[in-house]
Amino acid sequence: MGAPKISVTPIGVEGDRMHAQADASLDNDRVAELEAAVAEAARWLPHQGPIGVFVHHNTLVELEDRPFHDAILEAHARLGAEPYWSEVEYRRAHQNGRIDPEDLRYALDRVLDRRRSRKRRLCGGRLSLEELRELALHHDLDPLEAPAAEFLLRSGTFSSAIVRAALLRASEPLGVPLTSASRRPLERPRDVCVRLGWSDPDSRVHEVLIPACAAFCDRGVANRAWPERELGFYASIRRLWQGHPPGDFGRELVAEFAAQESEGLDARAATLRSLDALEIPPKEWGTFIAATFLALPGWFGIMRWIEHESGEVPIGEPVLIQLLAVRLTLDLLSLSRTLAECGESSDSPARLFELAMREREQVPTRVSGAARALQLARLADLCGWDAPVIEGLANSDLRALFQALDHFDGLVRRRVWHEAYERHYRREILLAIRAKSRMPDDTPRTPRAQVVVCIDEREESFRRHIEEVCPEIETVGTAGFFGVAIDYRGLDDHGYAPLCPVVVAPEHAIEERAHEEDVHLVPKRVLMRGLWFRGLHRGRVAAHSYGHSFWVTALLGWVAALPLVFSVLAPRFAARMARAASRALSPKPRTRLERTYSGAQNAHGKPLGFRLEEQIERVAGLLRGAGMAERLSQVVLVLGHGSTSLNNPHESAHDCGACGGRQGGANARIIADMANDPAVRAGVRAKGISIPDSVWFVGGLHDTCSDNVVLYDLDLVPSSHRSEVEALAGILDEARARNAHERCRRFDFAPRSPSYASALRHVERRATALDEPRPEYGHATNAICVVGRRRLTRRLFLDRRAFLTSYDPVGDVDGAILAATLGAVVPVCAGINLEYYFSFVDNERYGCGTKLPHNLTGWLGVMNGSKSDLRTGLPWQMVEIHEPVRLLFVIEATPARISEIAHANPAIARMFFNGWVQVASVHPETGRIAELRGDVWQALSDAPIRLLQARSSPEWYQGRRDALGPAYVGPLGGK
Amino acid sequence: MFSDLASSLSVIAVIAAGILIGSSLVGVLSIAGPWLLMREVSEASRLRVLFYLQLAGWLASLVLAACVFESESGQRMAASIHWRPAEAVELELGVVIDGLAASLLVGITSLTGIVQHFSFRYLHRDGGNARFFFLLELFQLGMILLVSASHLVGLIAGWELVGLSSTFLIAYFQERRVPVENAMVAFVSYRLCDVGLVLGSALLVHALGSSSIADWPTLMDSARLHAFELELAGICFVVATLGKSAQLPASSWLPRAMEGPTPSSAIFYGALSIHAGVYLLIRLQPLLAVAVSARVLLLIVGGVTALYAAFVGRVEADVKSRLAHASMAQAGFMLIEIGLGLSTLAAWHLGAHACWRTWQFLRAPSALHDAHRAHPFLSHTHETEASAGRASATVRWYALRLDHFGLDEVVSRVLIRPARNLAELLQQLDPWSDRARRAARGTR
Repeated sequence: MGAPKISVTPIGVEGDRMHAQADASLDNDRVAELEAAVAEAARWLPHQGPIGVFVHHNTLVELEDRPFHDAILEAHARLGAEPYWSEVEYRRAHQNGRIDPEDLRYALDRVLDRRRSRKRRLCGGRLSLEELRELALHHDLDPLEAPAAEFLLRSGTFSSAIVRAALLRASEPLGVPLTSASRRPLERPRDVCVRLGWSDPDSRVHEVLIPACAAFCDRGVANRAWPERELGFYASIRRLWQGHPPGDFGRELVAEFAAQESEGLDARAATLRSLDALEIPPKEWGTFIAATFLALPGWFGIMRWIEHESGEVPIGEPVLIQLLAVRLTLDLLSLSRTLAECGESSDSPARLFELAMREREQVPTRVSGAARALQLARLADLCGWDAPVIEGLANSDLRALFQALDHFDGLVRRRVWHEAYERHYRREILLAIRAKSRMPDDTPRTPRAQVVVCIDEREESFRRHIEEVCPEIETVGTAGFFGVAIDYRGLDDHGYAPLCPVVVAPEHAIEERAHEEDVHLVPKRVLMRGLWFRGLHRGRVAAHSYGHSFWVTALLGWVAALPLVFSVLAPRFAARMARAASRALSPKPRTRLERTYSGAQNAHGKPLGFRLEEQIERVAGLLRGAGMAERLSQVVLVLGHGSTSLNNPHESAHDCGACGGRQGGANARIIADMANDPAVRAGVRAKGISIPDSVWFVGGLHDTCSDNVVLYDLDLVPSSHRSEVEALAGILDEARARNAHERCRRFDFAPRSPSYASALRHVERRATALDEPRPEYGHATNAICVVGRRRLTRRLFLDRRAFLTSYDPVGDVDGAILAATLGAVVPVCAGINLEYYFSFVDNERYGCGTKLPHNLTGWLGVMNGSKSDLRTGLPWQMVEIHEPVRLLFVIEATPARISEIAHANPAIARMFFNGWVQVASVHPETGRIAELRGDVWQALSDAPIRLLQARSSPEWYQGRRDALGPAYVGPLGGK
Repeated sequence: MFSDLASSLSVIAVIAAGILIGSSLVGVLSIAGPWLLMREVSEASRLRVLFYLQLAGWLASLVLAACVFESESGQRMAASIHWRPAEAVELELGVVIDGLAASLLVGITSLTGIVQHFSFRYLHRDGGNARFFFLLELFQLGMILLVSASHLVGLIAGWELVGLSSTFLIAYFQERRVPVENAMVAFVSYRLCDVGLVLGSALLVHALGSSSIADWPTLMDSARLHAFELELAGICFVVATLGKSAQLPASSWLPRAMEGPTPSSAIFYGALSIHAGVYLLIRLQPLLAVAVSARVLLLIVGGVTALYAAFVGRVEADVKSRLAHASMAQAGFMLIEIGLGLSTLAAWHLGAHACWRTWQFLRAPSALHDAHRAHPFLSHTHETEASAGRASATVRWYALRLDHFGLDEVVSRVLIRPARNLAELLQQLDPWSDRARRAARGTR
């Protein structure tokens, strides 16, 4: 093994001060340049933080300032990630009637935008350009590799005359144009090694770098913490590895680090030194560093998160550069080693980079004659041409034909397919909503009760079922933190957790305290829970203690047989037993939220509770924003939502997005409590919203996994309302069972035609089972977001695909309410939708792959096995039933109003005008629908309105397990 | 044909043993058969077949255990088939089941059944579903043979089946490079240690003059003359154990084995495979009673491994690596117990550890959920360490632990790479594969 060829340039003690100063300023410039390059490269890193609190976001959030298709194609070039679904899937959708020929025509127009050229004739007038494209969409006409093409030509599919003619014509040099040369993304020296068939230098690096990253970032898995963390990653690892060089890195690494140390280099200088050793010109730094990042995007991404978003005190230099410095040092050593192993020790790593640069200026590849011949033969086969026709084609005809095919390559075709696919569903929905808007308003004038839930698309079916069970109820959708942003600490919690959208920083803290009469239960509960969890923790830790592990395992190991058997074979029973035991041993006291500010502050200096005027503002804001100020019913239920499941590292991704990836029960509870306070009501009345004394608010929590509903503070309900609240609880019980029933149609292990009760049992099992990698399907299939009155969607079956935001345009004269609503709803919903889109179309690059080998690491995320990149995005089991469409916003407001609001809010403008979402406007008065294309509004073309009808939701979805179109579900003849 | 057919009890026992082995065998065939015939079988029907087979096997193991504990003949039942394919060759295939083996059989069928049940849903819709269950059944068959074989042939066959199925499950995600490489590490470690099993068996057969495991205890006393051979055989068997039970110096494959699906990690490295070596040594207790050097070796290996695993496990930051090292440490403790002659304690410890660790592995993805709930009660998750300006010895000690004391690199340099080079060499002898490889490399 040869010594590495990194020349250690000795820095002599220069006497000349001027010289040194000039050097310093030069260095400063170079450092600034490096930092710019790192910042540019970091745009390609995933933005996901630790998955304990999962916040959905657009995977390509850094590219939002570009149009959608440009951005995903650029990501395709840089990351190698798929921009769209595969062509096979789109063709299948076409066969299943999910794409019509008309959709395809629309998409061809929209993508290629050349109406005139469509009629251009090719091949001596035998074929129009449009026909050729249609053929290419449905049949494989791409040029293949020469051996494959030769094989297929000889396989006997085509008659020998055609093959001969095709080969004859295609092999003529004039007839075979060159493909356009594209610049390939920059390769790293390592890629050159791999291409040459040498051993992979990265595997040597990752072997030691991944455990180091995991240990450095660890948030509490290991017993022993990283020593000297406050020195920063680079300095501490330099010290660590000088003590013991890890893995395959021997004395060279010690020597290299010693040299860096003796020269007094920091991470930036060390990075520059490595870049120099590779002889990378400064203008390529950005691309090279990005390529280096993308060799391990998850770990670099988490370092980026620590640096930018964790709120941790920065450790020395930016931690991303520190990791880069270490990585490049290792890379150089590993490359030299690989070169030496291959007997190429005369080469330096720099020469590998030179090779990579040369490869980048790629010579345009020539498509072989056989490939062209196969294209021609296939075309002849599809068009029914015989050999003389082929022979008769002029050279210019051939050139035009092949050029047309080359321009209409796989990416363009998939974009066309995608647009067509989106259009089909969009029209279905918009036509259904238009039809619905022309029906008489069926929302109850004076509702018996109102149920306020989150806008989450999983609540769409829940709301529909509540209204089906009891049509006199009105349901309302609003962002699930209900306008109260709080740092919340529950009775059993250790610290405060922010319950609000991630972009908001709560200014208030709320604590759950035991009811005075039940205070005596608290010490016992704390004691029992402490014993239990400390015991469990000891059990976990004891596995690694030097002495205890023996006794604990040998004596207590058998005890584990009990939960092992029951939780795998009878999970519901096991969960029930565990709950019963917990209730018996540590009964939960009745609790209250400390709602009103009394001058106290929590440890972080935030006021505990809200002042009166703040409460008035929150309650008024909720009632006005949801458009329910005018007609409050006797009982108003406010339901937050969350999701509980086991063996699911991504559990938090199923929680409420509006509560920052947490459960929203406390928000519902506190807003209900506020609205019940007579003082608050008086204040609200002064703002012009009257809450009659006969109205009572009840907060609650809907578990979207088990479909369980908990109502809070029922002991406070006045006796006048008690029977009504009980009746409503009964209605909710029925509705949640029906909701479970509807969900079961998508679950493979659910009974085929379950009763409501057995469906409920099934989803409860999912929430408690260890063996269930799909406890629920979360936001999968989300596709629509309706912002408008319930009359647009009431009794419309939207298949749990629609976020439903209540907004009443009538009361919103100046558009302020809409602006506020869209400001909150657009980023959250679009973020969810785009994360699902990307994790679905390329689950390996954008998502985190299958759950089966996932291994929780440092409470940060999951790896595959014990040493892999940190996997970001969503697992396949979560997204597998998704349909990749951009979210369709249907907003009940005039196009002018929507444009105005979007222009005023850059976050919305980026989403709307760059096409990251689809937007449609429903005119509040005329019901006319217009679609936003680019920044122009176009009226929805007229089509006969035929809204399919069914008597009830179950009747519509009965026996159907795939995605379902919209339908009116309600009494027939209800028009 | 059958020996010990005296009572109806043994007839029942023989039938039960037949059903037990048969159910696993049929399970293997029920998946391999359609493959060979290139027939598509739906996941649901495959799982249904496996479920009932497993149920039958489990019931059979219960019946068998009941028979063994009820029988009078010293709590041991044996049945075998003699087969004489040629004049000079006599093969004897059979089972011998004593109290320990019977309990273990119940344990094997129960734990495999639980993991199988777990996997029904966990691997639902996965591309490798059939392959997974094929390997799981193969593994169970291997374990049953290993535990119940009356002769060395059966024992070695079972041992190898366990190793093979383990290797292929580590490489379950065969489309990725790293799992396959890690499976290779496990495979080479197994194979090298298996040399110990074969050599030890040969020595033992030579010394005792019988390949029947059942006869060994009685023969052991009369074999004092071959003391040296017995010592050597004992050491060989200890070497055999190192591979399967991931003891030093052959331990570095175990953390790498976490590449497979979670349930396979549970059944192999939490429940059964990790204990195969321990069981073998318990079985060989009469031999170890004679072979003192082997016992000393066990004490050293077990002790050092337990310490090593604790040192390393405490700096690991991922859940499955921690569990892997915990399993390694417990297996080390069991070797110590056997070295001290406490084989009953070792057997008890084996069962307790199997339950405990399987439970922990199956719950591994819940670790975050649990940590969230336990958080209020754990004020310091990390042991507080004053860190800045620490003695360089402490820093170095941490670096050593994080790097597994450099063991992985040594193993890879001494064992894995030579084995790979050998494989490459063999491949070059094959003109076809060599050509394909050159084509794949491209020209420089």
